[in-house]
Amino acid sequence: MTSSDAESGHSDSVEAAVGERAVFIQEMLSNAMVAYQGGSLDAFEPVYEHLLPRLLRYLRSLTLDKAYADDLVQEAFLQLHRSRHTYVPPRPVEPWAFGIARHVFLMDRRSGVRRARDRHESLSEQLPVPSAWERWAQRATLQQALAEIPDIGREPLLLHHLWGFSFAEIGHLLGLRPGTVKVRAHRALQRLRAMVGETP
Amino acid sequence: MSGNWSTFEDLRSALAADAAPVKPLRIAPRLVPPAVLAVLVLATVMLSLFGLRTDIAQLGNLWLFVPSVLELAVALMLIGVGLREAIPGLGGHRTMMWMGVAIGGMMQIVTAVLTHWRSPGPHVPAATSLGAVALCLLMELLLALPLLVIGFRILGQGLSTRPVRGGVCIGIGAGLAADSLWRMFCPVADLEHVFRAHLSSVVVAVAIGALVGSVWDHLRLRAWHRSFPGRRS
Repeated sequence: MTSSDAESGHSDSVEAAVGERAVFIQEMLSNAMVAYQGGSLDAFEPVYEHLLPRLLRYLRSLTLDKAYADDLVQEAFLQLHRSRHTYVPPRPVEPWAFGIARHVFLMDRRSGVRRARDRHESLSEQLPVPSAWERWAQRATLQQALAEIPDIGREPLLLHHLWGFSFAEIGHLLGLRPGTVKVRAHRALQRLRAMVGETP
Repeated sequence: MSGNWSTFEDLRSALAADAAPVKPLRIAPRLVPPAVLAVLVLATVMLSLFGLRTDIAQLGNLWLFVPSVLELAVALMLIGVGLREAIPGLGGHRTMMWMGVAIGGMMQIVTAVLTHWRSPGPHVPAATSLGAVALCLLMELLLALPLLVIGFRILGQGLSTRPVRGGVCIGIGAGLAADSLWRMFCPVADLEHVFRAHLSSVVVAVAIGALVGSVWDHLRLRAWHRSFPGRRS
């Protein structure tokens, strides 16, 4: 066996392990949600622990405001609790939770409540960056480039590459066709790579 | 209810007041039984009031019931598509909504054309009068009303991010379901009458669905603003 065969085999087994872990986590979350719907608040704890950092990063990527996102995530969990009956097992939990978080963000933005932004806070610092991209440029550079990409491209880009949602799931979340999501994410990625000087 | 929860225990305390068991919002079991029951009750009432259409001898039972059953099945599917908006993260895209409207409209047109082909009947000028058109339009809208109510009730039990889209699909479904019923009792197969009155009622049902969805969205936005005062500087 050559070293490249060994590396390829190792990479395949790592991917398989990651996939199995994702399935395990999904099943764990779904089972926890069923118990939560049955009246057990304690069953919600693993769901909360799993979702809190992810929803927080998602809301920060939408709001570009750390304090605003911290505020919204509280409301998102309240809304999630009020809407816990809308989770239909055994569907994936994360798209459902992200849907609620996005709903909270949109309702708040549409309600027209204006918030004073901390002028010293950098907008781009709130943007999460997949670790795989850091081979192209430094994190701060990537964040600045991401901040310049319009929302309609940045959101599907991060939902797919950072949070791992399929284009179909993102389509349901954003109310777009999967093909449209794929095109927007692809164009955003191309633009990002061009901005950081990374040639495909 | 708001708070600053850095741990699950903090959140748990906030949620403890409302921790009753809940049933998942499965659309089909909540939609189909009451919808079918409503259709059966309405059909019974229509039968007792009007009797079946007068050209039933020429039309035959097969051409009377089968297109109506097919229309009803498609109608319930369209309402079901709209009700996906009640589940966060499961909604459809705008093209799907317009495809639903197109499918519903085409279904009504094809049914009308086939029924006319089977039983053309004489052209009845009075059937295209404003009074006759208004009567059929009103009857179909009344028949659509129960399904509009059932659909929006289920939509309201969920958390819809795009209630207008849901409303449009509920409207086209309710309109088509009403047409599936009324075509069994309306005595006029004249295509001019059917397109003026029956197709128009389907269009109006779509508009009603969109309007209800829009008003509801506006009202809950106002409620949202009121329910979180003083949170921002």
